[in-house]
Amino acid sequence: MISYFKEHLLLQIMIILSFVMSLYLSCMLFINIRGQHNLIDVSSTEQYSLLTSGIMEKMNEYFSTGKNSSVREYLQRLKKDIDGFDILIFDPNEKISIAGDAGMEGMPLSSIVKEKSALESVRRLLSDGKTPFEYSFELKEGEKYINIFAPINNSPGCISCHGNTKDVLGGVKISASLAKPYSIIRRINNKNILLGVTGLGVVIIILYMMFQRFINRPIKYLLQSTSKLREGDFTHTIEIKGRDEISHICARMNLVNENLRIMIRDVLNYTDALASSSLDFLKISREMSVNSKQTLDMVDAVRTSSEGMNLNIRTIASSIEHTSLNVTTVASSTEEMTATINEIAHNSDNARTIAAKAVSQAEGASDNVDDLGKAATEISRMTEIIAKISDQTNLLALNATIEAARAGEAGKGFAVVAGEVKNLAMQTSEAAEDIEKKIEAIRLSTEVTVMQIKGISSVIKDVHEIVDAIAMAVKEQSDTTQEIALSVSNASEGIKDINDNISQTSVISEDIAGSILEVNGSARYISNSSVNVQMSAEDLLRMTEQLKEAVGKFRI
Amino acid sequence: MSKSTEKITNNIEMATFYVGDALFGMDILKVQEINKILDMTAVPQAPEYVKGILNLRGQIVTIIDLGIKLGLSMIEIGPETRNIIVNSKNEYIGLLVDRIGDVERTSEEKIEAPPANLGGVKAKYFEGVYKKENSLIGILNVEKVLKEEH
Repeated sequence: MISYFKEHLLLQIMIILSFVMSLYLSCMLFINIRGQHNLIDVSSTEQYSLLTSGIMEKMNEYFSTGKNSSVREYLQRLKKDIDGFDILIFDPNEKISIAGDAGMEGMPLSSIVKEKSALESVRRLLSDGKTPFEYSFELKEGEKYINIFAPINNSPGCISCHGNTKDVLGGVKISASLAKPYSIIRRINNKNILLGVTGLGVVIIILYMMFQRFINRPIKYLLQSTSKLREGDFTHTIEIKGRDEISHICARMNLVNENLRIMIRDVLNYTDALASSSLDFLKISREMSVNSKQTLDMVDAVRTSSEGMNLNIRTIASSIEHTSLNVTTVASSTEEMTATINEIAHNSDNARTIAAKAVSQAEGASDNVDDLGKAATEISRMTEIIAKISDQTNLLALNATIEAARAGEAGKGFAVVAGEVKNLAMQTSEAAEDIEKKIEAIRLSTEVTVMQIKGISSVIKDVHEIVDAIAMAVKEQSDTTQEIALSVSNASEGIKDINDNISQTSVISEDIAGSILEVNGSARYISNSSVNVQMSAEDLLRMTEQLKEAVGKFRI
Repeated sequence: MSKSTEKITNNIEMATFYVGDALFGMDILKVQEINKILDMTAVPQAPEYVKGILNLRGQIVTIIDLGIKLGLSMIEIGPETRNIIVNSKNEYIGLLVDRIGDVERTSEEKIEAPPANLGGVKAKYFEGVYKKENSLIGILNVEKVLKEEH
């Protein structure tokens, strides 16, 4: 309950305002009522004291006649005529002597007057007789009464009865009800209170409505907007009405919202870019790591190589001396080679002539074999004729046999002859077949031979060409060899220069070896650093992803 | 040919020939001649086995495909096809065969009765069979072969 109040500004303000206004109203009313009461008291005191002196004058007249009964009647008349009015007369011993109400006579004054201060003022009044009157108020049955006490002084008219021994002969007490003015005042006050409370209520309601209209609603909009902001939703815009301060705040809020949205969008875009960049960075750093590792390895390799090189250069130096010797040997060898090459040139010329002869002979052989093939074909044709003849002979012999059979006994000898002829024809046929087979074989082998001779012929032609080429080459070789001889002597001088250079190189390569050692240290450092870079790149990528995730929660 | 010099009593001589792979024989005395004249003239409306007619030295010869006539496959004309000229009832008939064989000489008692069916040819066409060492010769009855119409 308390927390609900604490959370609602309007309620807090309204409660405080209501409290203050009520307090103010009640204070005002209280002071007002108090003043009115005082006014009534003062005016009624004045009024009744005047009335008292009037009554006293009248009473003195009655007293001067010495007729106490007429005084009593007067008092009774007064009580009767004036509503809420009472009057009594008491003697110096504070005993009621004459009263409007006859039953009270003889009773002590203290039985009516309860208040001590009133009694004390009555005593004071009775003792000196100089005080014109005393008054007091009392509440009787809910109504307020005023009591006026006045002394009855010993005047010249009294001396005749009472003597002059006493200055004060007694007192008069007048009691009057103040109910009427009070009731009027009460009515007025009631109206005032009613009016005040109603006015207060109206004021509070108007204030509430105004507050609601001008402050609370925009604040609610702001609240909604800020709660959306809190959820990361930047799409919400506050509707602006009016030109007051809160509207300005709302407008500023919208601007801030818009700026934030743009900013977050930028952040999102940059985050994407950053993500891809960091991915690239990671890749590059990985490559760099690998590369730096490789570099390190390579530098290591270079280091060992340079050490090797140093050694090698020394070896080369000694080798070159050796080479110098060898070059001299080469020079003499070259001279020998020149002579040999000349001989080769001569021989290759001979080979060329021989090859040319071989070509023409092979061509002749090819022609001969071709002739042989043709002859074989002729023979084949002849054997076919022989075969036909033998076939015909065979048929002839058969018919002869038939004729012989028909001739009977006389044809017997002829039959034998026919049989012999038939056998002969058969043998001829077989021989012809044999010849045919053999001739076929010859033909086949001549074809093969022709092909082979052609092959040989082309090979010999190739040989011829090659020999030609060799002759040419040898000529060139001869020229080249002479150039080589010249070059070798130049080389000899060059080698001397090289020797000098290599001794310089040796010094430089030692320097290089030293530098490479430094490079090695640097490369190792780079390799370690690149591993760190890679780790950082991975961290960066992870952070970028986290950032992306965090920013991605916003709605823009 | 030493066999031919032996004494021959009741001996017969056979001219042998092939129709397809089957070896047949016939009495040599029935044979007029054997030749390879094959340029015959076709005869219209003739039965299938009549291949045509030819002029042999002034004589008209009717050429019969012995393969078709015996109910075997047709003779295909080739280099070894032969024409066996026979004389049947004073008429010259030429029998086309695939190949000609040797002249066989034997005695009548070596001829055996033919089986019901010999190489797809009915027994009634045969006079008998003659068994050689590694072959069987069906001896044709030329008259019956030529008499029988299809």
